[in-house]
Amino acid sequence: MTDSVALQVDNLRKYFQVGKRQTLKAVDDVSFTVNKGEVLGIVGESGCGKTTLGRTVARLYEPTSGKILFNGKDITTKPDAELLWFRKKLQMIFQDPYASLDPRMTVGEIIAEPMDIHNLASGSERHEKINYLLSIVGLNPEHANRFPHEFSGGQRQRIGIARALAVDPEFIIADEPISSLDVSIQAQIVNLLTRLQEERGLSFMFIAHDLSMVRHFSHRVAVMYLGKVVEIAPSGQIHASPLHPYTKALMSANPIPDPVVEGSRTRISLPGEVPSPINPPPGCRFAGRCPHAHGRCTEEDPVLKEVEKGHRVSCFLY
Amino acid sequence: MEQTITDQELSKAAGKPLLSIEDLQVSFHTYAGEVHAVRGVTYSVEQGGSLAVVGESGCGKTVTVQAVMGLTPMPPGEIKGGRIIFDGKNLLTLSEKQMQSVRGKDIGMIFQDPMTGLNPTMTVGRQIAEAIVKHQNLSRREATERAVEMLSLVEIPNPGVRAYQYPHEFSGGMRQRAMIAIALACEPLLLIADEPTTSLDVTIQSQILELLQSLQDRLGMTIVLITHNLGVVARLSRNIVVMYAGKVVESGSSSDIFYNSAHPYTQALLQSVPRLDRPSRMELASIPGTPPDLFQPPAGCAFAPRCKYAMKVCIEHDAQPTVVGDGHYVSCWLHHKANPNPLTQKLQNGGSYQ
Repeated sequence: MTDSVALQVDNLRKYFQVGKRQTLKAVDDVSFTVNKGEVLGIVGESGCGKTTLGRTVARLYEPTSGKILFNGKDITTKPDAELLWFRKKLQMIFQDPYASLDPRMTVGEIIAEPMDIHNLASGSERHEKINYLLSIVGLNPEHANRFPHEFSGGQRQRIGIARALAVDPEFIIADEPISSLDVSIQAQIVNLLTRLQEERGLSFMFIAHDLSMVRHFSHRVAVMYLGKVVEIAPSGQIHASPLHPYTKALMSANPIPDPVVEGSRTRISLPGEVPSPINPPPGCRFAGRCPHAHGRCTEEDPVLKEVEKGHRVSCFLY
Repeated sequence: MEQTITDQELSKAAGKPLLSIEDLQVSFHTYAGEVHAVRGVTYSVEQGGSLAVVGESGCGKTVTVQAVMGLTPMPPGEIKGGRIIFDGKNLLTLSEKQMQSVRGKDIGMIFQDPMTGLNPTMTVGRQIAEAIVKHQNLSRREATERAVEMLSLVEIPNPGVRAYQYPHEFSGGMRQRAMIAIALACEPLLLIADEPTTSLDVTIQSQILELLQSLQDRLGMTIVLITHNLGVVARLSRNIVVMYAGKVVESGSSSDIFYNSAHPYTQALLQSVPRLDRPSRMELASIPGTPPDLFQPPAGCAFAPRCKYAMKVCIEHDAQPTVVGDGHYVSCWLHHKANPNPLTQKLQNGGSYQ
């Protein structure tokens, strides 16, 4: 493992027990790395396990098996008490800007809370740091004394970003940070994240269902389907030459805001819907909806293998 | 269903709007004051046409169609003025009883949330049959048969079995199909689809859009689509109305709006979305600030505080619609004939602007 790898995830699994004998395989044998200063986008439809993956990597969930190495250190099974350093380096930005801020705390207290936990600043230094954080996310120092309900969704998301930056993290997991915002506000937040990422050399796991936004912000994109990563490639290639039949369908289903382009596109339409991740059948998870499925697909699980440099896909076609 | 509109009727109606909304004003009275949600909206859709109403949350797009359906909650809502002419009648002057024969029969509506739009205590088939029994004088049995036909029209597999199931046994995409079946059960002249795919995954969204497209082609139905997703609009609609802060800021054909947009808001909106067919990590053209508070709508153009071209007149007076092309209207002082320096050079194009 080289120094440039910020996060390495090996064969990570997160299963949930539902009922007596049923297992929900939310994340099933997922491996990837995120380099320092790199943005890895995780894209997939609802229920594919992308949020569970983010939360398991952040150790908000206990992994069922597998390994998570952060800066080369194994954090998979460390107790919470030994994870304080990790939580300082890795922060999360959540989807719902209404539910993720404590309504009884002022914005200043919300932003300062992580600093207090890690004993980073006190007194006037703490005060200045709050003002500084508010200014870099595009808010004013006066906002520190207000409460979350006084802010719009976009402003709340900025507060969430300021809170994540309060401990000078190296790595941020952003779980659908813009999906609850209006179009014109989404662009503001993505531009802000892009600027912060570049200025501070942050590493990101950017989890979202909006393919065009993920591709826009990420250096590499991983596509998930029913708990598995089916394809991972540089963001240019994932659109220009997608390989997995699911990625192709996902690309073609995403409408492009241009009537001429839309009118001339050929669409791959998938029959049916994503099956339940409870006790999934053996073989490729996508086989039931795949136009290219053949005998082997329903018997054997394809592994993620490299077909071009940096482009890995799990499909028997390649 | 193909016989709903005869060729004769079609030619008679050709070019004549099926629905025309004129200067509609809707307010809501709240404890904090009066919210001017819709402030003089005018748009129309022709027989067999497809119109998209685009705008961000709170711009009044849903409130406008609620008024069309007679579903404005009153109180706190109040229709302060304007006319809604549908098929020659002003819907705002109809009694609730008369409105009931329009709603569901002549105008069908699909709501955003397929999880809450259906009644959880009734089978799906019965919910479809309910409308048929009410409006078409069929017996319950005939209506149920018709419900099964409707389910197969919206491409639900095993319609005969599915009709006897409850909404919780349907997935999100299936529920949205069932809602479409209910809306279409009485062969409406007009279908209003309010964010029909917003809560669905992209591959399911694609299936639903395909269905709407084929229903329109096959049945010649008039569709008003309300959405904030410009990609969906590009795929489905021939005409577009762009709304901002309770007003229409621009309207025109799909190519007028995507390739020749005249209003700075429309342009900014088009440039603020990343596209799969563009290089990534390019700075997105974001619109600074947030939409105005409609408790006290500004005297001038509501977009002026966020507009990079704003002039003094924009802050003081609201612009009236100006014709900038055949059927292409924009409410912006930049294009007004009173402007001594009308823009000779086109503002940056949205859709295909590089």
